[in-house]
Amino acid sequence: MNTNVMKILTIENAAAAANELLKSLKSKKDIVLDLSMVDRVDLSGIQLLISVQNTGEEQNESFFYTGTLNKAVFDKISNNGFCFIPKEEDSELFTIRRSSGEF
Amino acid sequence: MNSDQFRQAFIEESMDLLSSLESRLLEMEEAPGDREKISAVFRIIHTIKGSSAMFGFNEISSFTHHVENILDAVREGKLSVSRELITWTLKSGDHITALIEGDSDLEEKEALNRKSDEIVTSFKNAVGFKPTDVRGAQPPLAAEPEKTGKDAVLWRVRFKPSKEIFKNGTNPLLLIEELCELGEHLVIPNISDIPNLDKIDPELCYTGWDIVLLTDKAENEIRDVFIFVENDSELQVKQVPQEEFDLTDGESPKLGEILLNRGDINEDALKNLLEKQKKLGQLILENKMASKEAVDSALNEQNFIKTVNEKRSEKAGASSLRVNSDKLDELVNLVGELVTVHARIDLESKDTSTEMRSMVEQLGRITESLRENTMSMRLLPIGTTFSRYKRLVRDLSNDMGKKIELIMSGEETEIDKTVIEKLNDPLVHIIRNSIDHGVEDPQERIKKGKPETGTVKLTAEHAGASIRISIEDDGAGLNRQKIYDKAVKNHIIEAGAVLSDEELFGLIFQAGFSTATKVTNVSGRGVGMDVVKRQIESLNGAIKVESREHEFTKIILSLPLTLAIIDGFLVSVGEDNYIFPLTVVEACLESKFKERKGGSKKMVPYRESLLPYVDLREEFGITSDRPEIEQIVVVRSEDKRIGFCVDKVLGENQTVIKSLSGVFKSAKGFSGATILGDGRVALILDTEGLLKRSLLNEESMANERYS
Repeated sequence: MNTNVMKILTIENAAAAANELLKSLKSKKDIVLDLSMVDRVDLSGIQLLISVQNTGEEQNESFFYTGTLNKAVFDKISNNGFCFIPKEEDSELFTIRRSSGEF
Repeated sequence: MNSDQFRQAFIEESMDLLSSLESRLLEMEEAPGDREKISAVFRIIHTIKGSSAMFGFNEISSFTHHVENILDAVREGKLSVSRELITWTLKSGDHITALIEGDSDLEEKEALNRKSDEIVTSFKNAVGFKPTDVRGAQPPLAAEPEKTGKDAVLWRVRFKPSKEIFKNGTNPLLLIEELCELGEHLVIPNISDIPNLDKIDPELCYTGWDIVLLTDKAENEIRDVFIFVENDSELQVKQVPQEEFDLTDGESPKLGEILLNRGDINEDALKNLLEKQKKLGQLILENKMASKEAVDSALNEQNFIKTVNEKRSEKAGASSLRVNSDKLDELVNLVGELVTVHARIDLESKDTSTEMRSMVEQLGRITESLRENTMSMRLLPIGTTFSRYKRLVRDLSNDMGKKIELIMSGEETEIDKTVIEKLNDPLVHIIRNSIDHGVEDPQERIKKGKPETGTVKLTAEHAGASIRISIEDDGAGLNRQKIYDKAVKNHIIEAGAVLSDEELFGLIFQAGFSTATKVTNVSGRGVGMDVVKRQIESLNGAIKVESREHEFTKIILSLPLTLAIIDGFLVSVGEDNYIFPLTVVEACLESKFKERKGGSKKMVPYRESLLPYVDLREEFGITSDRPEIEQIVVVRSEDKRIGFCVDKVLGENQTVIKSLSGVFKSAKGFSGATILGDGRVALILDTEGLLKRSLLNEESMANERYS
């Protein structure tokens, strides 16, 4: 089952969100975090999403995000140089990466 | 066109596009597999998105960005053409119309924005669109797609905020967004410092950015974005060298060069690696010369520059239109007539209703914009003429067994096309003379201790209302004695006359004057320099020579930027009006004749020094009474300042230049005339000519006194 990420991911509640996310990572081996509930994010929140993803990918067997993103959240993340990479074609699971080039 | 008119043009164009969107969508529904129809719909939305961003309709641009993403997924085959897709695209079209027509009422705006969000969400859900369907999931490049103008420059901005930046309430994302508004951009975040979840302090900033920005803004404007955080942050703003950026179509800059210029790697280590001829990016990583982040970031910039260059070359092909130059001349004439008619209407409507005045003022603004636009259409970079001379220098120097290099600078300097056309013959004459008489042959140069290869420098630069073109060779220079002897022999001057360098060198422009002992098929017949002078003067220009024997000869041409319409500065003396070119006017001073009278020299105090002035009333022999308070118009003339005493200053004037007929050829000090709003003629003053004329008058008066 997917775990919903908090509605607001900004500096005001990032510490609480970090604790909650840390608990989620420890609760299962395969993690899917649903971002469809998130309707506000700032840089602190984006850093948290990257951090939880890095930690999840290191410690858990698998880690992905899912969910249809709110427009404002999508804009905030993509306008600042991040992109959404699907697990595989047509998959609803994705990770957040910085926009990258290829060799 | 002012910004309101541009916005109106955008609205009209978008409405046209939206009406064709409907018919295209319906065609697409009938033939869902037709890729061309899908592309046509995508292009319409893409165009609206681009132009709305350009004209500052951010809500429309943001909304269409989402619609475009969905349609792109259709183009990519990730989504199918369904009934829902057509319905929601039609609804989106209606919503764009509402956004365009929406007025500036804040509440309505907020309601429309909420509706934008609802439509985007419903649209995505209805067609099953996922964020991962966005191609390459790249940030939108086309935020300001039209800013790839030729003056745009590429900048690398590296911004690493202080870790504590959140604590003083600053949001770095807003800074990045503000920076991105300056032009086309690529944002690459550096996130390698973000720790794992158990170590992260959400109140610290771990992120930095490399931003590649294509903008016509200056470095200061870029730095201004970070003005309040610059002290605590790491900020680098570096211009990407033009040669690295201006690549031919489809070519991308080298990865190594980007990393080198950014200071991420060192040159020697790079050379060693290149010798191994492996993939550079991998080698840099294997050798730990730069982090993966740095290499990735440089690769992104490489792709960005490639894309921008491709777009540029596409645009260059698409956005220019050939127009017959006669049509352009006719347009300038018509604009000239319009300016004159406007001046007349302005005058006649002085005592009419406020509404009428406001309409006349608006007409004035439009006329001025039209004038500026039309005149700028006539301006061409002088480089188009310069490039012809490479061949001339190459051929002539080969013929004469000389080694000469042509060095050009300021090719981008723009000048009226009529001036450019008439400039060719004089320049050819001068360059031929430089090659033939100026630059010595290689043996002689070596004997003189000069480099074997001589140079001819062709330079163009703006100087106030004029353009200055100089042709300088590092050859034998002018021989004062030879010129003097020849002038005496030809009875141009009396033997024993004392001449300054400028006066003596000016003699080479006399008809039939050549000191060359050898007549070649290139020059030496004494025909040429007098013609050159006449041609330059027919363009209201001036020519002068500087030279030092055995070292150099430099011919300097000063030409007006335009021969059609200028910004003028209207003054009156007695009953008559005169015009100074506004660009030479520096200041105006009040002055009382009684206070000036007394000294024998015409001088007035100006900025803690004395300013010489010409009294136009005396100069033109106007005998009516002087006003109690007169005005001294201070103008810059070449490298000096001079005042002109007039009765009254009437203000700025859009001046349509009419040339004076041959009858007035001997009247020095006037470069043309213009017709004022009341139908009267005002003479346009040539300040240089007036100064010379005034000095001559003084000399002759002095001579009369002594004789």
